[in-house]
Amino acid sequence: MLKGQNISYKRGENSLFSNLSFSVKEGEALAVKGANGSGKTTFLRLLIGLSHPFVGTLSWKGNPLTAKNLSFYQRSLLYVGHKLWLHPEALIKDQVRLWHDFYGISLAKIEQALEMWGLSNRLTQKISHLSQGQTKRLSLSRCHWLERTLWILDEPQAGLDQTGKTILSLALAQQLEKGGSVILATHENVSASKEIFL
Amino acid sequence: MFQHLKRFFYDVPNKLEDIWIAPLSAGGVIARNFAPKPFRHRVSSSTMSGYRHNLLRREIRNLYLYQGTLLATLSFFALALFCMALGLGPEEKILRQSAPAILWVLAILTTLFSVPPLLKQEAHEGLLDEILLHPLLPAFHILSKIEAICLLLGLPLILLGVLMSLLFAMPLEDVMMVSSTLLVGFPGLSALGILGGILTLHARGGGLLIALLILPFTLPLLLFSLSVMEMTRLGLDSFAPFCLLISTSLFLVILSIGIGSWALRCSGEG
Repeated sequence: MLKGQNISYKRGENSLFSNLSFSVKEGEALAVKGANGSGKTTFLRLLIGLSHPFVGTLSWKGNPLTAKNLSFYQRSLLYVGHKLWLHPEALIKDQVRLWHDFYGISLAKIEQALEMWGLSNRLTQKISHLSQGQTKRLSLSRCHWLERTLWILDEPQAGLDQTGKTILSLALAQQLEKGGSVILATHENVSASKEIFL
Repeated sequence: MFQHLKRFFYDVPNKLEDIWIAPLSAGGVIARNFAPKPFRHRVSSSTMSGYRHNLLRREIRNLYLYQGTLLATLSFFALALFCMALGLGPEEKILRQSAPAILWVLAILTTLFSVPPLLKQEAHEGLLDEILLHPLLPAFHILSKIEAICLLLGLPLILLGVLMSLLFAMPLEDVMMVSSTLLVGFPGLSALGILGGILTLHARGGGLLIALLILPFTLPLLLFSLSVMEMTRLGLDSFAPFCLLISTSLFLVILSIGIGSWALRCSGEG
């Protein structure tokens, strides 16, 4: 599905990583591991086409990604990074409406996902009053209602409690079962089909 | 009439989907290979039409959540006008003559220094990544933001200007004229505010940069609107400068959308 060959990235004079090759097929998960500052986030942003320039080739379903077909590829991605894209002044129900308007997904579907993540009883709570784990859950609930072929998640387990991690594992398993793919940066042990070390 | 309008707004922009897909389809293989069966990431015409309408609603909702900032901005505008009126003294002729310029300059400053921080806040929350990964082009997002700012900041600002013009002893005719120039020029102003925000997203001391980069672009708006006022005051036909004001405002909207889309993609990098 997504294949990278000899990918190298430099920030200024420092080389973050060089000659990385990987491939993720349908139903596969790729775990990106490495120490703090090794370039995991940069690597993921590079995969979604938000970091340039880099050396090497990325191809999606056999076709090299170019400026022309990049936006088409990006439309099949779900990216949850360190910025969780939650409005701090909003109540959870306001955020749900913002998502509904932005993605055109039904309110019922989003609320159903919130129920899975244990947030349905907090709809009238302000996002700035939520704990770090709860905001992470809220942001990760996108996995349940935004149907995308490839998920790219940046340290999704960070800040989650055991229940949150279980819900996330179930969501990941469901995605792989459907024939989707997952690339996630993580420090934890996950049962990914493939691993890459930076 | 309504049916025609409805068809225009619903059908014409749907053609945009063909524009997106066309270059890929022309290549033949790519478009087919990119469409996975069990997922629905291809944007159908109806979904896209829905996206466009929803996007404006999203921007209005989002901007409304910043109501505190908007109120502070409007308060600044009113207070500055009040101070100006006090500072100019009781001479009615001076007040009347200087009012349009003061209203316009303050509208420019208020917009250019209040809109970019809102955008920065959103970028800090991660909006830019989402815009770049959204099925609609960034241009649609910028357009929706311009529309939302016109509705939630522009209209109240103009109404406030009308009210505050009482302090400047302006005749009703002048008040109507200056309000109409503001109404016509505000889309251009808000577009420049958005553009300033995008261009200075990652810059420290963005306020000064905005002044250097964007303020010169507001000069045509200011000059044409003041020409309208001056020609009206002299009893001449102000149609020509009014048309120039409209076209300048539209040009600035288009320019901001074009440059802003490109700059958004660049600012997402790195």
